[in-house]
Amino acid sequence: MTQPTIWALVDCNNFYVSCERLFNPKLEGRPVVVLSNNDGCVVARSNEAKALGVRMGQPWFELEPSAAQLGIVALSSNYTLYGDLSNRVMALLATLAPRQEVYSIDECFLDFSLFPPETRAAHGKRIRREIRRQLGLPVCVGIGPTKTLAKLANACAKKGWAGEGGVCDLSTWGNAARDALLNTIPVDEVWGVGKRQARQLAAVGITTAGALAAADPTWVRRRFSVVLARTAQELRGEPALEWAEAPIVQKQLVVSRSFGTRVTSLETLGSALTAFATAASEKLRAHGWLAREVGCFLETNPFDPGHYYHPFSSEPLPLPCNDAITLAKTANRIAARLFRPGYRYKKAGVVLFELIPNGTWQPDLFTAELLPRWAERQQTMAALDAINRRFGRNTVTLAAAHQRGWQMRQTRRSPNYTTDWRALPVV
Amino acid sequence: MLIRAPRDTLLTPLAAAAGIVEKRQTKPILGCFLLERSDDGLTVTATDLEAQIVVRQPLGELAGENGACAVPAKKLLDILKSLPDGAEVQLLAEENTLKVTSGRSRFTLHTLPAHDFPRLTPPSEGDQLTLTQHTLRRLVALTAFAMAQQDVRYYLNGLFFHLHDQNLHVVATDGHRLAHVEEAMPEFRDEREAILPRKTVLELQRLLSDSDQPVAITIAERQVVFTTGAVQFTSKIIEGKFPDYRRVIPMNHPVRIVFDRVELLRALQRVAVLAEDKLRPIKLTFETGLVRISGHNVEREEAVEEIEIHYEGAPLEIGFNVSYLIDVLTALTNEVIHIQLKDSMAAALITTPDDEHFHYVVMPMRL
Repeated sequence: MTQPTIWALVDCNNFYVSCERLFNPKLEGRPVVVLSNNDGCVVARSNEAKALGVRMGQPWFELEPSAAQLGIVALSSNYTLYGDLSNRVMALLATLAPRQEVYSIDECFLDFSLFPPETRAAHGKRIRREIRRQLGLPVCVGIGPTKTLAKLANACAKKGWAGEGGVCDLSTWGNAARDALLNTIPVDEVWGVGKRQARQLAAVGITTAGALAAADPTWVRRRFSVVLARTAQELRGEPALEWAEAPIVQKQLVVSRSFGTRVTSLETLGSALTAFATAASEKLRAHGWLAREVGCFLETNPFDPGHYYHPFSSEPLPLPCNDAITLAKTANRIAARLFRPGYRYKKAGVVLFELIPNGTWQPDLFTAELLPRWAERQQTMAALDAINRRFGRNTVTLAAAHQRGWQMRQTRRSPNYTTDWRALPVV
Repeated sequence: MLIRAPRDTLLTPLAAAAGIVEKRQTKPILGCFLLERSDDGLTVTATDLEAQIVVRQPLGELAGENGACAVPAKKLLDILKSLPDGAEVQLLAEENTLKVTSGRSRFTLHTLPAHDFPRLTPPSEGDQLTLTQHTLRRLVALTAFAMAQQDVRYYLNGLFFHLHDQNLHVVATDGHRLAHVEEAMPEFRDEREAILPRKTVLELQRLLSDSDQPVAITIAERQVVFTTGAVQFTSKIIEGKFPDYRRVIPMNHPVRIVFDRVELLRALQRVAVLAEDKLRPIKLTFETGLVRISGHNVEREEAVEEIEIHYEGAPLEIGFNVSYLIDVLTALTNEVIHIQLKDSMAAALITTPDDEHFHYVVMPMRL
């Protein structure tokens, strides 16, 4: 048997806010929020904003009246900036461990198996120091014998529940001590347990991570799901998730945006949907998933004069896939069916259904001839991801996504300090 | 209606028809047998609206009175089953009841009017072919296990009968694997096809014995009728287009490996113990002179089996749902089987040298 993997999860603290502060030090110490596309609602908060009781997802129009009085600074999201800084963080982290899995824009798993147990926490601190020194961003590090425990250790480090100096190493804890800690952590802090599931668990008396770990595995599987049974297994320190494998907690994946201006042409809609399908395919690949079905919706503004038109349709895919080309083509084909001229579209989206892990799956006999092509596409997408990771997001994309005319409203956006020569900060 | 007969004379036709009665039916009459007595004897009919079984039973010399009624199937069957062997039974239908008496036992069951019973009218014409029970049973046994179950592609939830090129092709597939067998029908020149519903196929397997008694099959536009001895089994056909099975049966795979069927089956069954419960993945690794069969579960428990084979090509790794292999090796009875392969992505072909008319195609799994 090979040696079991020790996982470290490195996560940037309040990533979007930290990115903004990097180029605007005046924001230090002030309550800062970052707003979603079209300045809709809060998607990131500084610790000061959290202390004021600003909620995640809170609509900006609720906050705006009192914002000035409370000293809250609101910024439009600048994904170009965050994406570029994310790439730099990930590139640096890749040099600090033998293996890396980028899980989202601000977090990644690292392989700590080769570090002797007593040095792991120190290495975590070195990582924190290096990222602070080279990029000026604060991160926390959680270390554990499973991905789920590493994720939980990270939350402990961030919230000060365990560990010290922004690093928490659960891999060296004995089972008894770990269980005692888990008994103090609310179950909705566990990776893969959503708010709704936490309520269902509370209804049967499981309110802490420890209680979930201790629950009878067969019962958890029958009463809830295999996914939750695997999560519970991971909490007990028994690995259930591999590299590039995340618990599938959602049944569908949606990428949708409201447009900056109303869209009336199918061509512009198609361009937007290509961009959404690309983003959705990137998410699938980052999570190691495939989708079996693609859906697409269009929407006019219900408050605009005239008929409110909001059609939706979906198509099963001949092979489950995660490649941008197939997803974009399918979404465009559906959109062409749904599109009615004469409407002013406000929003559109791509929805992926029937997500399965891209590990072990059963291809179909009657679409077998598509499989070699499918495997080629997997390689193309891996190459594309590698380029975009190295040279920045959207370095290589599908040409069809470049027809403009649908981009978002971003009135409070900071300049693209790191990716646009014209936005270089002047000293 | 009045019937007097030994228990076993009544039990035989009722048991033959019982399989088709739905346990949870929406209408009470679908839970009934239709009993009809005429000068020729007793006729028992059961239906689920998709299929219908009619069994005729001569009643011999005993006196009685002609008539008909619909009576709760399970209750009547259970009563007759629990009466002692050789008991004499009397069934007397009155207004809304059936009185069952035997010795000192008396039962009164509610009945429904016979004219309310929904009969399927068997087609008056269609293509006719005749096989022995033994042959039909073999054709079904070699294929039926590969039928889909509650698939959205409703035309896969059944068994495909295809009369083509003076052969009867019987095919089943769930999209992941496909079983095909053909039987020569030299006197049959027309083209004809029908998809039998899954439930019909399972019922057919129950009704067929290993005997040389003939089964007449009538294939009409919307129905198929199987007639053998006293039993007439009518079933609706699934409307839809069955996929072109010939397209997916590979003909030119470069690698052919010879296995002892039972040896391979036993090894697979042992590895299957530790194959993960949902997709049941296992891996076959072919090396010179050897195949290694391995599987593991989510708890990371592992099973490895090795079988010596004649293989000289480059090493080849291929994954399968172990159930798909076990199914076919269990359905076959031959001593030797062949597995033909191309690569880890192409469908594998399983055949037996004893029967060139049998093909089983199974799609590998991505591991």
